[in-house]
Amino acid sequence: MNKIKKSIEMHAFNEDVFLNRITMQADREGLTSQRPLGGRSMKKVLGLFALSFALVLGLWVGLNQFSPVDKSLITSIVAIDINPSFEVSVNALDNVVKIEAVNGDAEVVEVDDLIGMKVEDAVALIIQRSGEAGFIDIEDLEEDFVIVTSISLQDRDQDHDRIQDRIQDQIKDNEYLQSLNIVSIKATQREKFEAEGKNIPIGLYVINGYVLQEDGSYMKAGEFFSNPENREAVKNRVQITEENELKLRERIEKALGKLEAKGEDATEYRQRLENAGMEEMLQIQAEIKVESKQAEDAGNDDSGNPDAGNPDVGSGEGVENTENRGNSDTAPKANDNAGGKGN
Amino acid sequence: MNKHSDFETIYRATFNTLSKHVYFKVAKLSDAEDIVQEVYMDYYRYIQAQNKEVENVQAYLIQIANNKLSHYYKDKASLVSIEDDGNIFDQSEDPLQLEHTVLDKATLDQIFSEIMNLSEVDQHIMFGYYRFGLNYRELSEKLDMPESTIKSRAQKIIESLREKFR
Repeated sequence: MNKIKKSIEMHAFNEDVFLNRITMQADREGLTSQRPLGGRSMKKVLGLFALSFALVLGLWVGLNQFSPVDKSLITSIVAIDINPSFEVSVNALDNVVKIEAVNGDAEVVEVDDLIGMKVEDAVALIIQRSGEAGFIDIEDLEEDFVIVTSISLQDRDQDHDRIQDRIQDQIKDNEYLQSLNIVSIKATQREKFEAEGKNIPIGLYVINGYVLQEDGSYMKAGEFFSNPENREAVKNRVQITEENELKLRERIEKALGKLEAKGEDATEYRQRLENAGMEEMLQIQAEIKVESKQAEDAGNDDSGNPDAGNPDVGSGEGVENTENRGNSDTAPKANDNAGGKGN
Repeated sequence: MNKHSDFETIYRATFNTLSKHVYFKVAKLSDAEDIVQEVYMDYYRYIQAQNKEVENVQAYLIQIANNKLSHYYKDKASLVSIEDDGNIFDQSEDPLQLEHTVLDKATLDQIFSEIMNLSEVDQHIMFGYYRFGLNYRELSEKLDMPESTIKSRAQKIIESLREKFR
């Protein structure tokens, strides 16, 4: 054998050397049984080191009791999918260690000052700043969905629960977040890995796992959740904090004001709105949207535009193939000019 | 078969693939070896202490490695990319395939020590070729460098080793 090859195989990534190291470490941690990992010769080696490791182990355990939490160690990731999409890395104290802009749109949102914050505060600010940058419009008649996916890097349910509880408490205290539909999802490391492989935001990947798309495309969150059957299908994985009723009512009121300003009669809508619950308000919102579009098209016709199109129906947009993770939408975009800070 | 021999079986079946995956994503050999050892320790703890089984072990190990690599990238520099120096490689012979009699005088430790004095990119060429069995085309893909650059650098590495042990 070539001598260089022999030298490298002996010194670099030597399987047997690694196995010995792992065996010894496992012994130190008390993970192994009496039988060693590597065969008969290992018995003698382990026997020789047993006494000294007992002493070392005692010292190690003693020292570890006083060792602080490693604040730079990432224990969980919170993925926020609006469009834009972010990944917030969090330590065991639920403080933000790192924030990654997952797609191009996310890069316009300032997040550097959020490092070190509690995760729920950072999540709230990221969503708010995305709204300020034009990616969410709470004034329009489209339901806005934000998917917040938690991934525990140690696959521990308590990490998920703790982080999701923090975020839910934040929503209750945050007026802006109450104008949105926040979808909370728990995902596994494996699902994150698979979503990355397919270049799809993790939140969309998880929910679309429940919906069979014949052409392999992925649905937007708005369209997905507008179907009650889909909501039922994911209820064990997903918690939806729906837009606050009061906020929805305010939005409809503003839309009716705009209709009336154009000379349209909104009396019937106002009467229905008076005693409407959440479901009825969503229906009223959908109808106002249709009427607004018709009024707009009528205005275009009057000015001689031959291309007046059909009105939109419902709150979701059509199925879109989101092959490029960087361009996938989770919520219908508020306006076509979204993309700059402070629009 | 008990859990220890289960672990060893899985370890030996996945070690090369995992090591190669990690090594070409970090700058230093020692960092890569640390990460690989940590991955196997994490896996060992998972199946032993938590008494769990993993369906696709290789994918799981790669996942763990990718998580550790994310943490690594936060602190460490990535491999420096090298511009093609335009040298034309003599295709009549592959320098890394030849037996170099001048190295007969050197011990294996000495040879390895000299390899560790090479630049990180050159180390990746040597370890990729000799330890992981990659050819020049594969090395070119892993290191994102033209194949001609890989070959000319390999030639220079061998010349430097010859010079050292002449």
